[in-house]
Amino acid sequence: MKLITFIPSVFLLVPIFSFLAKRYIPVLAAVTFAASFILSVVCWMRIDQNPETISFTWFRTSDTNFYISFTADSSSLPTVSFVTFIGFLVASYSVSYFKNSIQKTGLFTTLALFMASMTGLILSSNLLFSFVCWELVGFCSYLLIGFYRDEEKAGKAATKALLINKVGDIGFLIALLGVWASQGSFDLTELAQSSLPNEGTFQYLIGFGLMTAIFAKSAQFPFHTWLPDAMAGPTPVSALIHSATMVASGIWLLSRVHFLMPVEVMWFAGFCGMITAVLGAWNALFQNKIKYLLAWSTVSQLGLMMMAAGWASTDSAVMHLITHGFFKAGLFLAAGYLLLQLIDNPEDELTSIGSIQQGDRLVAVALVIFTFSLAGLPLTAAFLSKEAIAAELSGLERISFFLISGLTIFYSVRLIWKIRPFLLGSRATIVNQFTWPILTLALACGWWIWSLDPIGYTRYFANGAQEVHLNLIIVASLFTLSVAYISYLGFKYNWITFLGKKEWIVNIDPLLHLAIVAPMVKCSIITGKIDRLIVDRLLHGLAYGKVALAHVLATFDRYVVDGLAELMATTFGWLGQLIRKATSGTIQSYLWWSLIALLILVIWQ
Amino acid sequence: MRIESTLLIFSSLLFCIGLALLLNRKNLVHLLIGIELMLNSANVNLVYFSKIHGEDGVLLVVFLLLIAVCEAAVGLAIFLRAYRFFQSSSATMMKNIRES
Repeated sequence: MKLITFIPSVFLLVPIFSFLAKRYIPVLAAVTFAASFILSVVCWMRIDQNPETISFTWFRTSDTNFYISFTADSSSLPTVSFVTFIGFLVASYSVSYFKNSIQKTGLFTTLALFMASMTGLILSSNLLFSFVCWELVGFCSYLLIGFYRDEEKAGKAATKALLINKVGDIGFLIALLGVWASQGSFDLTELAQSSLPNEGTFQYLIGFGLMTAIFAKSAQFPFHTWLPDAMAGPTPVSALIHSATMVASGIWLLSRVHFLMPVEVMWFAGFCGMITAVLGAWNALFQNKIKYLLAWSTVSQLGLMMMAAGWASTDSAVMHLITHGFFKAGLFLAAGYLLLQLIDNPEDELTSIGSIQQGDRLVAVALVIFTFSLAGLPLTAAFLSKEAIAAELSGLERISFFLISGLTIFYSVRLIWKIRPFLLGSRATIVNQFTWPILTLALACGWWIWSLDPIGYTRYFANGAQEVHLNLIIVASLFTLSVAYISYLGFKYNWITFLGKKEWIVNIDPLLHLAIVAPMVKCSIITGKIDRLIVDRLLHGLAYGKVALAHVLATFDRYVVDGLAELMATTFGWLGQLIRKATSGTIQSYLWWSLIALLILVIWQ
Repeated sequence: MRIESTLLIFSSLLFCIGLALLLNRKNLVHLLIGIELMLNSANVNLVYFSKIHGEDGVLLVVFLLLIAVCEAAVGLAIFLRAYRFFQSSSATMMKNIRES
């Protein structure tokens, strides 16, 4: 199983070979992505029942070794296969998408580093190494969102994403300190089996710290605002960030560390997830730009995952993460392909896409499959993963989950309704470099990725037991289909007219500004004043005191220490003069001296 | 006052005068005169002490006077050479001989 160490490290070939000619870099990147995918699948095939861990010593302090450890179990390997699969498809799509870009070397090396850190994060079973990968994921997303660096919007969005993620990183650091202080180990398998009691304070410190990190990365309320802004990046990058890498890292980390979380924190996470889901779905209703619609739907779906993780189990959240990754990557790739066919940059993109004449039929079919999957209609993979979540919820939680799914269906139907002339009018059948990744992703949206049975699923891919919840499936099918039909009727007979109006969008940025940024600025002004008025004066007083003391010391030095030295010098100089005089060379002085010596001798005798 | 103590005081005075000359005067010839005076005071003492101990020291003193004359001749010859060389008969000029 040493092979799994190559899953992250194979990506590093791209930066190493970045000295190659520009036209080879994209192909090299696509090949390494494919190699990583094949490696993960091979590892997945050879997996045993027991999880295996490989450790390398990373660095050592005086009494402790820190390890880089990778774990291979029935949860990490399927996920890493999924991530590298999406990464490979996006990379091969990007090869043609960025054919004429002059910065493609930088883009593909950054993508490779992004994937390396993401796979490292998924496989890592050491919290410290996870943190390093986590930071790298955030930094690479910063680079990728700001790829169009000459646009002001992109720069601002990238900075916003980075700053919000930094808030989360601070939470992660606090949690790391808490884990180290209470357990003395960063190894997740050790932590899971640890018998040391978690004291209350540490428990909540760790819980809320990790939760902040996960909220920032996975765009949960109130940190979700960076995700729609991140649309300023290139579309393939959005596809990657929104499906398999950036936002997935938060949910994945939660599934790794959920045993460290207190129950109350998990419930709170689920509650925030519900708010996020409602907010995202509501805002998605009013978007006319397809990328922004998809971004808000990502926010909503991430909220659903957080609800699942907080209220049900992280396994079902990861299940939904995977199905969501497939259809969301496909939606973004298809949207990017369609946007390339638009000539100008229209305000109402959906209508413009709808008016594309003689469109691509396969892409239209794929788009419908993706949208149905987003809506969670029966026979799609998302239906099964949502069913897995709903089966574990009960009472009010299950009802709210159903209602949010209903909102999802509503905006999905709106998306299809707005672009229906394109879907109906498509005639051409083209398979090119853009369409084959989209079609491959469409194939991965069916129920068969969970099991061959369209109403049952196996939670741990090949290893778990088949689960079927017949009553729930009947209710869910009826609910989704009826909501879809009602909203279809609503659009057909023009009952709903307010959608698409910008005024209805809930934007919490001003609220955040009012609640956090403005008080922070106020605080900084006040602390600045305190600094100037009190601290600066204290420091000045201290400085003046020091200077005065220095003067006193200097005087002492000059007159006492220097005086002593001079006294000694003068004394010895005088003595020297005396002795020199004695040996002046005149005969009579020698006679004098000999007379004195003689007298002394005589007297002493 | 007995004659013996008078002689001793005389010889001591003579010695001191010679010593004072030797130590204080600058001229080399004065120094030589001082040395001669001190020698003569020693001669007076020699005569006196020989007389006390009952031995004949007078001949030795005459011999010493002769030696003193020779010594004075040699000293004067040296002083003459020194005067020729240094263009001065001062004793301080002699310090230029020292190693420096």
